[in-house]
Amino acid sequence: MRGFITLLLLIIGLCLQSAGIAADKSVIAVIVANDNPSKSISLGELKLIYWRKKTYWANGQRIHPINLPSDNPLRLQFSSSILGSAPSAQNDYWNGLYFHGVSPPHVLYSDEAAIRYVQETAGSIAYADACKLDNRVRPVLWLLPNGEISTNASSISCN
Amino acid sequence: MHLINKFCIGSVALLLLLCKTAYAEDAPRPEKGFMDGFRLGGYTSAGITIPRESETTATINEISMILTWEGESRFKFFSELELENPISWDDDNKFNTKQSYIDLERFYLDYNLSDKINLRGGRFLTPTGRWNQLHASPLVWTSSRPVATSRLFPTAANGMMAFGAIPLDNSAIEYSIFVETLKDIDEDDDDLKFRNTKGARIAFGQQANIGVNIMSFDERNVFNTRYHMLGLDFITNHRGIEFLGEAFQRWDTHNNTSGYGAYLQTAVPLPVGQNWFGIIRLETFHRPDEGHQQRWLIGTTWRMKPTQLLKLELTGGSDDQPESPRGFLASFAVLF
Repeated sequence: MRGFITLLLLIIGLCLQSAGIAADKSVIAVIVANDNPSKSISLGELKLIYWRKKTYWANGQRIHPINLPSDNPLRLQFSSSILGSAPSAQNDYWNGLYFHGVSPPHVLYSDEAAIRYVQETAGSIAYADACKLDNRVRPVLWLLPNGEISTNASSISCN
Repeated sequence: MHLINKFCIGSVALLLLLCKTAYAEDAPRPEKGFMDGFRLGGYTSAGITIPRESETTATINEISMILTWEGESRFKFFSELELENPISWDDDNKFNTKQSYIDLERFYLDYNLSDKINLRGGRFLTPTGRWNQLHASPLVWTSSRPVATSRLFPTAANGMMAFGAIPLDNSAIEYSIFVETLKDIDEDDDDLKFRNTKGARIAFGQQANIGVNIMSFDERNVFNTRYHMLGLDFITNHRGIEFLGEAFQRWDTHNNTSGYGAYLQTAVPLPVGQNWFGIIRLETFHRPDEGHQQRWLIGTTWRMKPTQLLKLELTGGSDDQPESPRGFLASFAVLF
């Protein structure tokens, strides 16, 4: 019986720990400038933009994607959910693209820096904690903690 | 050294002084002025070859300079100037520059027509297979190149290309279609001579990326024949182990088989040290005028940094090829 209780407590502990990990994840908003003509963006397009395979918006404006540092929790979450791999596993890819004259997305060091950059730079796109956004930029897509993608702002709760 | 060589080297040196140096891990902010859009980078490698049946050589294999320009317009410029074998050493000639020459590997202008279509004009690598498009020494696991990727089809062309990526569900299809419009004016006697090249490629898939290539070209050899070629390639990773393969089959205008080649390569993380990989490659190759060849390679590569590789390999099989002699090869490659 004592063994059973120990096992039960262990399982509950593991469940709480994994719930804690999920809770650590944020809702990430993909943001563009308020005057960006794109009303929405698909997951496939977002992947192409962050892999630098799509480098122009439909109106011919060059796309300037922004990343956070490779050890930033938002970057890790964005990278694994959207691009399917950790930043550290992408070195070969970026070296290959560099051989063809294509650089990886520019790195900025905080959500706030990314928001300001998007606000001031035509054609830019970034991601940030959805609960830190204000009307300086426009969110076009949300990445939920469970990895799902949403295009509906009402599904986001910042309490 | 010829005057033109000195001029080219001088130009590269001048550009080095004028331009900002770019790095693979570094990305620039949007540029304001025309000159701010230039970026200079490149790669180099040096190695020693101890062939089974000829003398040992040590060489700086290449110094390659990549100059790019992009601004806020729809145009982009790319060029790669390569100084091949600038210095070699062997027992007979000691240090020498006999095999040194300059090669304009790539030189093209891109124009973005729409978000799914880009146009390219100039000299470019034919988008055929994987190795050919990423053949720089710091980007490949081995010092020697699979024979099938260099002796079956034209590896570069002067012409036009349309390329892009089309989102498809949560993935994408990448495509390129190209045609040669200007023949190569700089041909060595040793080079395979190709003309009137045209072809296309699509690539798709995330977990395993698969490429399908078709190509058509004249080869000016003893048969002076037009060939059609089909190519298939893939790359995938499973638990850190990379699997890579390419296969090509050529037919002449009478639909007779006229050459084929394939290789399968794997790179396995080794349980010794950090970032050491074991490399195994098997190759098969056939050309009408060269017969059938087989190759095996076993080696190890140390990724000292993401942009620096130290490679050691042993190659065996039938016959020697200039780019893939049988014996021991060691090299160090760096991307800068």
